[in-house]
Amino acid sequence: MTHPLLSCFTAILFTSSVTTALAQDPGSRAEEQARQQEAKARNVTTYVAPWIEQRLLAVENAGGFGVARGLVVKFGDIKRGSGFAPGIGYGYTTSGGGALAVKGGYSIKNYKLLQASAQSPHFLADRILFRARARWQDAPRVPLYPLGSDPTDFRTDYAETKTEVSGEALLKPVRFLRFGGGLGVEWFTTGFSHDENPVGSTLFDTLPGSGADPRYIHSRVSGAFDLRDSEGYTRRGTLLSATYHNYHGDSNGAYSFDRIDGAAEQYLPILHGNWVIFLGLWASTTMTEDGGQVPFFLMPDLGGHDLRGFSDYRFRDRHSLNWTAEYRWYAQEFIDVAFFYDAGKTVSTRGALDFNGLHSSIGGGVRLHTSISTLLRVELAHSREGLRFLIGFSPVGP
Amino acid sequence: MTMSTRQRVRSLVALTGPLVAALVVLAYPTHASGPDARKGPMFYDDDPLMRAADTQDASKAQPRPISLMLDATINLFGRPGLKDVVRAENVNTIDEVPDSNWYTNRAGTRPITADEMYQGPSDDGGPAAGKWTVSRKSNGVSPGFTITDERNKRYFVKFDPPGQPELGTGAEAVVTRLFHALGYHVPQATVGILRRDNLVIGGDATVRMPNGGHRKMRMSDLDDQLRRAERNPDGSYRVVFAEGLAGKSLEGFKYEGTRPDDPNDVVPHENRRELRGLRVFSAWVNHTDAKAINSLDTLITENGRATVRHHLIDFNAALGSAGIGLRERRDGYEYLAETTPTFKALPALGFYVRPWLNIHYPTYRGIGRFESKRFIPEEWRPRVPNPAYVRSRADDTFWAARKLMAISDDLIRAAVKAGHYTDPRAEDFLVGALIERREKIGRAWLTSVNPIVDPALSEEGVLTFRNIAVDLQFAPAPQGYLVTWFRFDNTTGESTAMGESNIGETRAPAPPTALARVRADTTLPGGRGQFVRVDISATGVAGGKFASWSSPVRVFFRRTQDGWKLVGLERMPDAPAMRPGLVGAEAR
Repeated sequence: MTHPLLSCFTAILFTSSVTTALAQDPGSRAEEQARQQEAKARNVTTYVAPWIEQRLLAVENAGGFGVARGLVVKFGDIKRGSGFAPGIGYGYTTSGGGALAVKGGYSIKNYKLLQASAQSPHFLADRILFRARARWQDAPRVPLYPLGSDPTDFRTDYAETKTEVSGEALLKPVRFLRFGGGLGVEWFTTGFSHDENPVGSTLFDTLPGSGADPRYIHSRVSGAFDLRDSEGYTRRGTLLSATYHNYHGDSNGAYSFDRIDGAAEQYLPILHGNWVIFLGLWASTTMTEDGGQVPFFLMPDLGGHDLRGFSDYRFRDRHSLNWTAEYRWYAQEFIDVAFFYDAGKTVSTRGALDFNGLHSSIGGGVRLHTSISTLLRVELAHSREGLRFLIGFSPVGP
Repeated sequence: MTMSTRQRVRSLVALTGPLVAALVVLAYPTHASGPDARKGPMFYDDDPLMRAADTQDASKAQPRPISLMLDATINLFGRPGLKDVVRAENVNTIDEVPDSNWYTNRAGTRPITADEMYQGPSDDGGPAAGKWTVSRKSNGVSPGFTITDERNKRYFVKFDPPGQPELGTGAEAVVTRLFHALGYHVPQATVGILRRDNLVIGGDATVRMPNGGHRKMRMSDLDDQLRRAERNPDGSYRVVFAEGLAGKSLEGFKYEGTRPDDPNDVVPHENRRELRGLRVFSAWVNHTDAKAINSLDTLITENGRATVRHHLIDFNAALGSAGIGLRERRDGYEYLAETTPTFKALPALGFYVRPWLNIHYPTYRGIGRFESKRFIPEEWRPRVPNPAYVRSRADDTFWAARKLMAISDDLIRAAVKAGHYTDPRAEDFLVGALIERREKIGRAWLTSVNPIVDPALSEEGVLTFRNIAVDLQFAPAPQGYLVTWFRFDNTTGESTAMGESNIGETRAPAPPTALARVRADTTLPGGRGQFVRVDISATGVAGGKFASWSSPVRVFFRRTQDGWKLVGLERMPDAPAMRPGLVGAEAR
């Protein structure tokens, strides 16, 4: 029998020689590199994109986030003042380029939305587009103040439910001109349920259209001369637009009315957009037949998004006028900072629609944007009624 | 029969001992393993390797789509890739990039004529006359489509943006030629004319619909593309025809990591010298869009083996063009999202005015926003941080700058001529701007590290070398050079000091014949296969800017039957690991 130590020594010699042979110097640089490649060849794998990359690739291949495809998370688009409103949607794009979408949303203030919509393909090289939608929106606590040009700050709330089935056609013959026309049926239900607040109840009951729950055929036409870079975000350009609405109501036409909204906006870039001066002027006016009334919830209103130092729907009446001057500067490709001054009023007669006695507010904020859209506005605004913190997801204006 | 305890132990050892001993030997690190152990001699007989071969079959490589959004987001807000920045891994032992499927040494390695430069990557002059069959359209923001001519040759057609004639097509043609001369694999790009009535839709041509499906392509699809392009007064379109690349498309390569399905791709891309050095070339031509989707890997068969060739594509967003219009003023000066200027600008009420907002650009047709007066090479940056660029060290940028210096004024003019600018003033301006930017790059990056080049050791022991920064008059000559001699053991890697020579500046007044010469003040090893190491540093350098010149360049020579052969060069031999910086590698 061999001595065990001799066996161990033999094993060491054998193993050592094998490992030495395996780890032998390559002999040349080319061989060294070939060995590295050979080693990798034994472990070649196919690249599998992580989930997030697969989803983003699907979005990019579909043409971007604007194209409806599959299940998506949505935010906002309920009635103004809803607060943070997450929702869920599902989109389907047809092989012809049309799109169908459904979505539902629910806000922290208990606002609710259900909507189904359809959009045609873009015809004539993006010049013509058709859209239609069926929409139900429930807003249980919409701020309500007295009407007038200088109402008291008494506030109550009312509930408003709107159901709508509508369609519209959009025409853009050239880049800077666009026209639109739409027709729809709209049902409104309003109510006041704050029994503990008799003053509020009285206010609500005295407002035109309260409890009338009118149903309308709403037709509208619009035209715009638009030299802005894009509707969602711009640093230069001019916008002149007007929209004419006809609300033809039931109830013997008691609540039928016409409304015209006009806008003039000018963006003045200084030093290639390092600074931007923005001036905006908006006006709305309503018209009725003799004895007709405009329901309070369809009257022009100011506050919140346009007269930012005041709360949403702070001023409401038959006619409105407001303007904004904004000093904006470039902080970064996707970030602007701005100071602004807003002024406006609502009045009961068109003759009073002038620049006297405007309510004003000042403020500043930061905007996050892309080259074509405003993603987020965070602003602080001050008026005689105090300081307000605002978050918006669209450009300034009505 | 019973065994004693002693016998039992002895039997157990006899049975298991060899196994345990073998395991111990296997587990113990040998000289060839472990992270710090050298795996063999420092230099092999075939060093310096001038071609890095792809030895393995890559036929299993598959197309790998890259998400533009994810790639941009990750690079804007993160630093993908290796944390430590070390010497580029794919350089050979003399600090050069071997030819490979990534790169081919051209300018600076062999003479290039103006005719060659004008011709570009291939002798293809665009599609043949006759009908052109459209097979595929672009899905990107820039209009474009693929055509096949009657010779069955494939081209990708690109246009100028509306209102900007010659802008994108000129940039594509010029930069393609420059990048080809600099060594990259690029598709040929030829400026030409396209007429709508010359196009026919291919029988199997389809367009991808937003819902992911496909339908047959119509003429109106092409009209949609043409509507987004600049049109000549006669209704034709000035275009650039990018020649179809050979092989199967595998989509782009990322600037970090490796392709997992390519066995020959073993060097992390962020550690490839030619990708780090691309920062310099991109700065030169303002190619701010060198991102993953503007590259293309193709599976080719060469010598019977399938390998992956790596190309740079899409240069219509270079020079003063952004492809879809004029370049943004920010491009080249600030990333899309950069914190320092943002935090300065946020509270400044707009009175923090970026210097690039005041730059005046010429109005010559086709030039766009390109200039040279305000160009600062070290501060130039692409739109989105590039993983290879942010790891570029001084030796990487030096390598690239030296290559760039080989692109003479005449070669630049030849490349610009291929852009077919109709306004001669535009051509002159572009040539002048490229020359001035090249000179600025030389001044910046040929001086930022010890610029010793072309070391040679004669049989008689006379060492010669050049200081390229001094030769090209980018820097004043140092007072002298310190040359330290070592005997070098190639097996152990040990160096033994032999002597030291101090030489005064011996440079002749007129470049490029200037050479520093020094005779070894020691006896050099005599036998074949012997090595010497020579450390060369500058002494008395002028000012702090050239302080790095006092760090030696380390060169190695091996004695062969033909005399001393240069086998090694390290420009930053003792540099510690760095970290990815804002625009290039930074000290930890």
